[in-house]
Amino acid sequence: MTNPEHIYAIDAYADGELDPIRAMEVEKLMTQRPELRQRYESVLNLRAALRGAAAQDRASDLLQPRIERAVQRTAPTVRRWAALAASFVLGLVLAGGLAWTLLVPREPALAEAIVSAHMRSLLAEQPIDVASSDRHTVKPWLARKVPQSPDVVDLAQQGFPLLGGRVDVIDGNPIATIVYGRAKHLVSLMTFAKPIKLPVESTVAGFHIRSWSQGDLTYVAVSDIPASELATFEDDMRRSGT
Amino acid sequence: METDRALFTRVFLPHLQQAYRLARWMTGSAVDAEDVVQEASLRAFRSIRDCSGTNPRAWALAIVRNTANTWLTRNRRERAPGERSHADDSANHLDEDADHETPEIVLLRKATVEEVRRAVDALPLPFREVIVLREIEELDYRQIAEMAGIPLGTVMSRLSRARSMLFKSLGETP
Repeated sequence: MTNPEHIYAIDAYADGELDPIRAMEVEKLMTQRPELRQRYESVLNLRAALRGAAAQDRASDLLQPRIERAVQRTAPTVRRWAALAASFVLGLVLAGGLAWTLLVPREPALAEAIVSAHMRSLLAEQPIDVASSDRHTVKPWLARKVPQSPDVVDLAQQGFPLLGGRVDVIDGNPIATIVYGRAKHLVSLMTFAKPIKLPVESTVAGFHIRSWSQGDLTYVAVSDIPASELATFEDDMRRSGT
Repeated sequence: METDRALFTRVFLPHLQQAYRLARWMTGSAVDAEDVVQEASLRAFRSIRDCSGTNPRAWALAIVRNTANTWLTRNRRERAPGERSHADDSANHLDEDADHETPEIVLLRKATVEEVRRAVDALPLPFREVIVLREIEELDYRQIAEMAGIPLGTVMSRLSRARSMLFKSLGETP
Protein backbone atom coordinates (compact mmCIF):
# COMPACT_ATOMS: atom_id res chain seq x y z
CA MET A 1 0.00 0.00 0.00
CA THR A 2 1.46 3.30 -1.08
CA ASN A 3 1.19 6.23 1.25
CA PRO A 4 -1.00 8.79 -0.56
CA GLU A 5 1.31 11.52 0.68
CA HIS A 6 4.03 9.87 -1.39
CA ILE A 7 1.82 9.87 -4.45
CA TYR A 8 1.09 13.59 -3.99
CA ALA A 9 4.80 14.23 -3.56
CA ILE A 10 5.62 12.35 -6.77
CA ASP A 11 2.91 14.21 -8.68
CA ALA A 12 4.03 17.55 -7.28
CA TYR A 13 7.58 16.69 -8.26
CA ALA A 14 6.46 15.84 -11.78
CA ASP A 15 4.56 19.14 -11.84
CA GLY A 16 7.65 21.11 -10.84
CA GLU A 17 5.92 22.32 -7.68
CA LEU A 18 8.57 21.30 -5.15
CA ASP A 19 11.38 23.40 -3.82
CA PRO A 20 14.88 22.02 -4.53
CA ILE A 21 15.35 20.43 -1.08
CA ARG A 22 12.06 18.61 -1.20
CA ALA A 23 12.71 17.61 -4.80
CA MET A 24 15.96 15.96 -3.76
CA GLU A 25 14.13 14.00 -1.07
CA VAL A 26 11.62 12.79 -3.64
CA GLU A 27 14.37 11.76 -6.04
CA LYS A 28 15.98 9.76 -3.27
CA LEU A 29 12.66 8.18 -2.37
CA MET A 30 12.17 7.09 -5.99
CA THR A 31 15.47 5.24 -6.02
CA GLN A 32 14.30 3.24 -3.01
CA ARG A 33 10.72 2.65 -4.15
CA PRO A 34 10.30 1.39 -7.71
CA GLU A 35 6.51 1.81 -7.61
CA LEU A 36 6.99 5.52 -6.97
CA ARG A 37 9.45 5.77 -9.86
CA GLN A 38 6.78 3.99 -11.92
CA ARG A 39 4.15 6.51 -10.91
CA TYR A 40 6.45 9.33 -11.92
CA GLU A 41 7.04 7.84 -15.34
CA SER A 42 3.36 7.17 -15.80
CA VAL A 43 2.62 10.81 -15.02
CA LEU A 44 5.10 11.88 -17.70
CA ASN A 45 3.63 9.42 -20.19
CA LEU A 46 0.14 10.61 -19.49
CA ARG A 47 1.28 14.20 -19.92
CA ALA A 48 2.79 13.39 -23.29
CA ALA A 49 -0.42 11.61 -24.35
CA LEU A 50 -2.61 14.54 -23.28
CA ARG A 51 -0.44 17.21 -24.86
CA GLY A 52 -0.08 15.12 -27.99
CA ALA A 53 -3.86 14.83 -28.28
CA ALA A 54 -4.36 18.52 -27.55
CA ALA A 55 -1.77 19.57 -30.10
CA GLN A 56 -4.33 18.94 -32.82
CA ASP A 57 -6.88 21.30 -31.35
CA ARG A 58 -7.49 24.38 -33.36
CA ALA A 59 -10.52 26.59 -33.38
CA SER A 60 -11.98 27.19 -36.80
CA ASP A 61 -10.74 30.29 -38.58
CA LEU A 62 -14.29 31.57 -38.41
CA LEU A 63 -14.33 31.71 -34.63
CA GLN A 64 -12.41 34.95 -34.21
CA PRO A 65 -14.43 36.94 -36.76
CA ARG A 66 -17.59 35.51 -35.21
CA ILE A 67 -16.50 36.73 -31.78
CA GLU A 68 -15.50 40.13 -33.09
CA ARG A 69 -18.93 40.54 -34.64
CA ALA A 70 -20.64 39.43 -31.45
CA VAL A 71 -18.57 41.88 -29.43
CA GLN A 72 -19.29 44.68 -31.87
CA ARG A 73 -23.00 44.09 -31.54
CA THR A 74 -22.86 44.46 -27.77
CA ALA A 75 -20.57 47.48 -27.84
CA PRO A 76 -22.58 50.67 -28.06
CA THR A 77 -20.46 53.66 -28.93
CA VAL A 78 -21.77 55.17 -25.73
CA ARG A 79 -19.53 52.93 -23.64
CA ARG A 80 -16.48 54.08 -25.49
CA TRP A 81 -17.35 57.72 -25.16
CA ALA A 82 -18.09 57.23 -21.49
CA ALA A 83 -14.72 55.59 -20.95
CA LEU A 84 -12.99 58.24 -23.01
CA ALA A 85 -14.72 61.05 -21.21
CA ALA A 86 -14.04 59.47 -17.83
CA SER A 87 -10.36 59.36 -18.61
CA PHE A 88 -10.38 63.00 -19.64
CA VAL A 89 -12.11 63.88 -16.43
CA LEU A 90 -9.52 61.92 -14.49
CA GLY A 91 -6.83 63.86 -16.30
CA LEU A 92 -8.54 67.11 -15.37
CA VAL A 93 -8.92 66.05 -11.78
CA LEU A 94 -5.24 65.25 -11.60
CA ALA A 95 -4.23 68.39 -13.44
CA GLY A 96 -6.57 70.91 -11.97
CA GLY A 97 -7.62 69.43 -8.69
CA LEU A 98 -11.24 69.53 -9.70
CA ALA A 99 -13.34 67.71 -7.22
CA TRP A 100 -15.47 65.66 -9.53
CA THR A 101 -16.69 62.48 -8.05
CA LEU A 102 -16.03 59.62 -10.38
CA LEU A 103 -17.18 56.89 -8.09
CA VAL A 104 -20.83 57.50 -8.66
CA PRO A 105 -23.01 54.46 -9.26
CA ARG A 106 -23.35 53.57 -12.92
CA GLU A 107 -26.18 55.44 -14.56
CA PRO A 108 -28.06 54.28 -17.59
CA ALA A 109 -26.08 54.45 -20.79
CA LEU A 110 -28.17 57.33 -22.08
CA ALA A 111 -27.31 59.60 -19.16
CA GLU A 112 -23.68 58.65 -19.60
CA ALA A 113 -23.82 59.48 -23.27
CA ILE A 114 -25.37 62.85 -22.53
CA VAL A 115 -22.75 63.72 -19.96
CA SER A 116 -20.03 62.43 -22.27
CA ALA A 117 -21.21 64.70 -25.04
CA HIS A 118 -21.23 67.63 -22.65
CA MET A 119 -17.78 66.81 -21.30
CA ARG A 120 -16.41 66.33 -24.76
CA SER A 121 -17.61 69.78 -25.68
CA LEU A 122 -15.86 71.21 -22.62
CA LEU A 123 -12.63 69.59 -23.66
CA ALA A 124 -12.83 70.57 -27.28
CA GLU A 125 -11.00 73.61 -28.55
CA GLN A 126 -14.37 75.01 -29.36
CA PRO A 127 -17.32 73.80 -27.26
CA ILE A 128 -19.82 75.04 -29.78
CA ASP A 129 -20.04 74.43 -33.49
CA VAL A 130 -21.79 77.69 -34.10
CA ALA A 131 -20.83 80.41 -31.67
CA SER A 132 -23.44 83.09 -31.60
CA SER A 133 -25.55 84.89 -29.09
CA ASP A 134 -28.04 85.55 -31.85
CA ARG A 135 -30.81 82.99 -31.79
CA HIS A 136 -31.60 83.82 -35.40
CA THR A 137 -28.17 82.49 -36.31
CA VAL A 138 -28.22 79.43 -34.09
CA LYS A 139 -31.65 78.14 -35.03
CA PRO A 140 -31.16 78.00 -38.81
CA TRP A 141 -27.75 76.46 -38.33
CA LEU A 142 -29.23 73.66 -36.22
CA ALA A 143 -32.13 73.28 -38.63
CA ARG A 144 -29.69 72.47 -41.41
CA LYS A 145 -27.97 69.80 -39.32
CA VAL A 146 -30.71 67.88 -37.57
CA PRO A 147 -34.19 66.75 -38.53
CA GLN A 148 -35.94 68.44 -35.61
CA SER A 149 -35.16 72.05 -35.08
CA PRO A 150 -35.91 73.40 -31.65
CA ASP A 151 -36.77 76.99 -30.96
CA VAL A 152 -33.78 78.85 -29.65
CA VAL A 153 -34.30 81.40 -26.92
CA ASP A 154 -31.85 83.71 -25.26
CA LEU A 155 -31.91 83.65 -21.48
CA ALA A 156 -29.32 86.38 -20.97
CA GLN A 157 -31.82 88.34 -18.88
CA GLN A 158 -32.09 85.39 -16.53
CA GLY A 159 -28.33 84.96 -16.30
CA PHE A 160 -27.98 82.23 -18.92
CA PRO A 161 -26.64 83.98 -22.05
CA LEU A 162 -26.92 82.07 -25.32
CA LEU A 163 -23.49 81.05 -26.53
CA GLY A 164 -24.31 78.95 -29.57
CA GLY A 165 -25.18 75.47 -30.69
CA ARG A 166 -23.67 72.18 -31.65
CA VAL A 167 -24.73 68.77 -32.82
CA ASP A 168 -24.17 65.80 -30.52
CA VAL A 169 -24.55 62.21 -31.52
CA ILE A 170 -26.43 60.29 -28.87
CA ASP A 171 -27.13 56.64 -29.40
CA GLY A 172 -26.44 57.04 -33.10
CA ASN A 173 -28.81 59.98 -33.60
CA PRO A 174 -27.80 63.57 -34.27
CA ILE A 175 -29.15 65.76 -31.52
CA ALA A 176 -29.46 69.55 -31.55
CA THR A 177 -27.76 71.05 -28.54
CA ILE A 178 -28.03 74.68 -27.52
CA VAL A 179 -25.27 75.97 -25.30
CA TYR A 180 -25.78 78.58 -22.60
CA GLY A 181 -23.31 80.18 -20.26
CA ARG A 182 -23.61 80.57 -16.51
CA ALA A 183 -20.75 82.57 -15.01
CA LYS A 184 -17.77 80.54 -16.23
CA HIS A 185 -19.78 77.37 -16.69
CA LEU A 186 -21.63 75.94 -19.63
CA VAL A 187 -25.07 74.46 -19.79
CA SER A 188 -25.81 72.09 -22.65
CA LEU A 189 -29.46 71.88 -23.58
CA MET A 190 -30.23 68.90 -25.77
CA THR A 191 -33.51 68.41 -27.54
CA PHE A 192 -34.94 65.03 -28.35
CA ALA A 193 -37.82 64.61 -30.76
CA LYS A 194 -38.64 61.21 -29.31
CA PRO A 195 -39.52 60.57 -25.67
CA ILE A 196 -36.51 59.30 -23.76
CA LYS A 197 -36.14 57.50 -20.48
CA LEU A 198 -34.38 59.69 -18.00
CA PRO A 199 -35.19 60.65 -14.44
CA VAL A 200 -36.20 64.27 -13.88
CA GLU A 201 -32.96 64.83 -12.03
CA SER A 202 -29.78 62.80 -11.98
CA THR A 203 -26.05 63.13 -11.57
CA VAL A 204 -23.34 61.39 -13.56
CA ALA A 205 -19.65 61.88 -12.87
CA GLY A 206 -20.39 65.08 -11.01
CA PHE A 207 -22.56 66.57 -13.73
CA HIS A 208 -26.20 67.31 -13.06
CA ILE A 209 -28.82 66.36 -15.58
CA ARG A 210 -32.39 67.58 -15.72
CA SER A 211 -34.94 66.26 -18.11
CA TRP A 212 -38.39 67.59 -18.95
CA SER A 213 -40.87 67.51 -21.75
CA GLN A 214 -42.60 70.43 -23.34
CA GLY A 215 -44.70 70.27 -26.44
CA ASP A 216 -43.43 67.48 -28.65
CA LEU A 217 -39.89 67.73 -27.42
CA THR A 218 -37.97 66.31 -24.52
CA TYR A 219 -35.29 68.61 -23.14
CA VAL A 220 -32.22 67.51 -21.29
CA ALA A 221 -29.99 70.06 -19.60
CA VAL A 222 -26.57 69.05 -18.38
CA SER A 223 -24.02 71.13 -16.53
CA ASP A 224 -21.67 71.24 -13.59
CA ILE A 225 -23.50 74.20 -12.08
CA PRO A 226 -25.35 73.39 -8.82
CA ALA A 227 -28.48 71.30 -9.24
CA SER A 228 -30.60 74.15 -7.84
CA GLU A 229 -29.34 76.53 -10.53
CA LEU A 230 -30.05 73.93 -13.17
CA ALA A 231 -33.60 73.72 -11.83
CA THR A 232 -33.82 77.51 -12.20
CA PHE A 233 -32.62 77.10 -15.76
CA GLU A 234 -35.46 74.69 -16.44
CA ASP A 235 -37.99 77.12 -14.98
CA ASP A 236 -36.61 79.96 -17.09
CA MET A 237 -36.75 77.79 -20.19
CA ARG A 238 -40.33 76.78 -19.54
CA ARG A 239 -41.36 80.38 -18.88
CA SER A 240 -39.72 81.53 -22.08
CA GLY A 241 -42.47 79.63 -23.80
CA THR A 242 -40.52 77.35 -26.07
CA MET B 1 -7.07 55.90 -23.25
CA GLU B 2 -7.59 52.51 -24.78
CA THR B 3 -11.12 51.67 -25.86
CA ASP B 4 -12.80 48.56 -24.50
CA ARG B 5 -12.59 47.03 -27.95
CA ALA B 6 -8.87 47.71 -28.21
CA LEU B 7 -8.27 46.37 -24.72
CA PHE B 8 -10.28 43.25 -25.52
CA THR B 9 -8.31 42.76 -28.72
CA ARG B 10 -5.04 43.11 -26.87
CA VAL B 11 -5.87 41.12 -23.74
CA PHE B 12 -8.35 38.43 -24.70
CA LEU B 13 -8.04 37.64 -28.39
CA PRO B 14 -4.38 36.51 -28.32
CA HIS B 15 -5.46 33.63 -26.06
CA LEU B 16 -8.31 32.51 -28.25
CA GLN B 17 -6.72 29.23 -29.29
CA GLN B 18 -5.91 28.34 -25.71
CA ALA B 19 -9.37 29.38 -24.68
CA TYR B 20 -10.78 27.13 -27.34
CA ARG B 21 -8.57 24.23 -26.28
CA LEU B 22 -9.66 24.56 -22.66
CA ALA B 23 -13.32 24.66 -23.67
CA ARG B 24 -12.76 21.78 -26.05
CA TRP B 25 -11.41 19.52 -23.32
CA MET B 26 -13.83 20.64 -20.68
CA THR B 27 -16.89 20.12 -22.87
CA GLY B 28 -15.51 17.22 -24.87
CA SER B 29 -16.96 18.70 -28.04
CA ALA B 30 -15.48 20.88 -30.77
CA VAL B 31 -18.84 22.49 -31.55
CA ASP B 32 -19.76 23.17 -27.93
CA ALA B 33 -16.28 24.55 -27.35
CA GLU B 34 -16.82 27.32 -29.89
CA ASP B 35 -20.13 28.28 -28.30
CA VAL B 36 -18.53 28.35 -24.88
CA VAL B 37 -15.64 30.49 -26.15
CA GLN B 38 -18.03 32.93 -27.78
CA GLU B 39 -20.05 33.23 -24.60
CA ALA B 40 -16.85 33.62 -22.59
CA SER B 41 -15.65 36.31 -25.00
CA LEU B 42 -18.76 38.38 -24.39
CA ARG B 43 -18.35 37.96 -20.64
CA ALA B 44 -14.71 38.97 -20.98
CA PHE B 45 -15.66 42.00 -23.03
CA ARG B 46 -18.24 43.14 -20.52
CA SER B 47 -15.71 42.96 -17.70
CA ILE B 48 -12.66 43.90 -19.73
CA ARG B 49 -11.76 46.69 -17.31
CA ASP B 50 -11.26 44.10 -14.56
CA CYS B 51 -8.30 42.54 -16.29
CA SER B 52 -5.75 45.09 -15.17
CA GLY B 53 -3.15 43.87 -12.75
CA THR B 54 -3.72 40.24 -13.62
CA ASN B 55 -1.99 37.83 -15.93
CA PRO B 56 -4.05 38.24 -19.13
CA ARG B 57 -3.81 34.59 -20.10
CA ALA B 58 -4.86 33.36 -16.66
CA TRP B 59 -7.63 35.96 -16.62
CA ALA B 60 -8.90 34.87 -20.03
CA LEU B 61 -8.73 31.18 -19.13
CA ALA B 62 -10.52 31.76 -15.82
CA ILE B 63 -13.45 33.26 -17.69
CA VAL B 64 -13.54 30.36 -20.11
CA ARG B 65 -13.34 27.91 -17.23
CA ASN B 66 -16.25 29.58 -15.45
CA THR B 67 -18.29 29.81 -18.62
CA ALA B 68 -17.64 26.15 -19.41
CA ASN B 69 -18.70 25.18 -15.91
CA THR B 70 -21.93 27.13 -16.14
CA TRP B 71 -22.53 25.76 -19.61
CA LEU B 72 -21.95 22.16 -18.55
CA THR B 73 -24.08 22.48 -15.46
CA ARG B 74 -26.86 24.03 -17.52
CA ASN B 75 -26.71 21.77 -20.53
CA ARG B 76 -25.68 18.48 -19.03
CA ARG B 77 -26.77 18.80 -15.46
CA GLU B 78 -23.23 18.03 -14.60
CA ARG B 79 -22.11 18.89 -11.12
CA ALA B 80 -20.02 22.02 -10.88
CA PRO B 81 -16.83 21.87 -8.89
CA GLY B 82 -16.99 23.84 -5.71
CA GLU B 83 -20.77 23.54 -5.72
CA ARG B 84 -21.87 22.66 -2.25
CA SER B 85 -24.25 19.79 -1.60
CA HIS B 86 -24.26 16.42 -3.18
CA ALA B 87 -21.80 17.36 -5.86
CA ASP B 88 -19.03 18.32 -3.48
CA ASP B 89 -19.64 15.42 -1.16
CA SER B 90 -19.26 13.17 -4.09
CA ALA B 91 -16.03 14.87 -5.14
CA ASN B 92 -14.68 14.62 -1.62
CA HIS B 93 -15.64 11.02 -1.46
CA LEU B 94 -13.69 10.39 -4.62
CA ASP B 95 -10.78 12.37 -3.22
CA GLU B 96 -10.69 10.07 -0.25
CA ASP B 97 -10.72 7.04 -2.46
CA ALA B 98 -7.27 8.02 -3.59
CA ASP B 99 -6.00 7.04 -0.17
CA HIS B 100 -6.88 3.45 -0.87
CA GLU B 101 -5.34 3.34 -4.29
CA THR B 102 -2.96 0.54 -4.90
CA PRO B 103 0.29 1.89 -6.25
CA GLU B 104 0.09 2.44 -9.95
CA ILE B 105 2.23 -0.18 -11.55
CA VAL B 106 0.95 1.08 -14.80
CA LEU B 107 2.46 1.65 -18.17
CA LEU B 108 0.50 3.74 -20.56
CA ARG B 109 0.11 1.88 -23.73
CA LYS B 110 0.02 3.89 -26.88
CA ALA B 111 -3.43 5.41 -26.69
CA THR B 112 -5.06 7.03 -29.69
CA VAL B 113 -6.17 10.64 -29.56
CA GLU B 114 -9.80 9.49 -29.49
CA GLU B 115 -9.13 7.19 -26.56
CA VAL B 116 -7.42 9.98 -24.67
CA ARG B 117 -10.36 12.31 -25.34
CA ARG B 118 -12.89 9.75 -24.24
CA ALA B 119 -10.96 8.96 -21.07
CA VAL B 120 -10.77 12.63 -20.11
CA ASP B 121 -14.41 13.19 -21.00
CA ALA B 122 -15.40 10.33 -18.71
CA LEU B 123 -13.85 12.04 -15.69
CA PRO B 124 -16.23 13.86 -13.38
CA LEU B 125 -15.99 17.61 -14.02
CA PRO B 126 -14.04 18.53 -10.84
CA PHE B 127 -11.30 16.11 -11.84
CA ARG B 128 -11.47 16.82 -15.54
CA GLU B 129 -10.93 20.52 -15.09
CA VAL B 130 -7.87 20.21 -12.85
CA ILE B 131 -6.11 17.75 -15.15
CA VAL B 132 -6.89 19.89 -18.21
CA LEU B 133 -5.75 23.10 -16.52
CA ARG B 134 -2.54 21.45 -15.36
CA GLU B 135 -1.50 19.26 -18.25
CA ILE B 136 -2.98 20.99 -21.26
CA GLU B 137 -3.04 24.64 -20.23
CA GLU B 138 0.09 24.14 -18.08
CA LEU B 139 -1.10 26.25 -15.18
CA ASP B 140 0.54 25.79 -11.79
CA TYR B 141 -1.22 24.64 -8.63
CA ARG B 142 -1.68 28.14 -7.29
CA GLN B 143 -3.30 29.37 -10.49
CA ILE B 144 -5.59 26.35 -10.59
CA ALA B 145 -6.55 26.83 -6.95
CA GLU B 146 -7.47 30.46 -7.60
CA MET B 147 -9.34 29.67 -10.76
CA ALA B 148 -11.36 26.79 -9.36
CA GLY B 149 -11.76 28.44 -5.96
CA ILE B 150 -10.41 25.42 -4.08
CA PRO B 151 -7.50 25.03 -1.63
CA LEU B 152 -4.09 23.92 -2.86
CA GLY B 153 -4.47 20.60 -1.07
CA THR B 154 -7.65 19.90 -3.00
CA VAL B 155 -5.90 20.74 -6.26
CA MET B 156 -3.24 18.16 -5.40
CA SER B 157 -5.64 15.45 -4.36
CA ARG B 158 -7.95 15.96 -7.35
CA LEU B 159 -5.04 16.01 -9.72
CA SER B 160 -3.59 12.80 -8.32
CA ARG B 161 -6.98 11.18 -8.37
CA ALA B 162 -7.62 12.30 -11.95
CA ARG B 163 -4.31 10.79 -12.99
CA SER B 164 -5.05 7.53 -11.25
CA MET B 165 -8.40 7.34 -13.00
CA LEU B 166 -6.79 8.02 -16.37
CA PHE B 167 -4.16 5.38 -15.73
CA LYS B 168 -6.96 2.94 -15.14
CA SER B 169 -8.79 3.74 -18.33
CA LEU B 170 -5.76 4.18 -20.54
CA GLY B 171 -3.15 2.02 -18.94
CA GLU B 172 -2.24 -1.57 -18.82
CA THR B 173 -1.11 -3.29 -15.72
CA PRO B 174 1.83 -5.44 -16.68
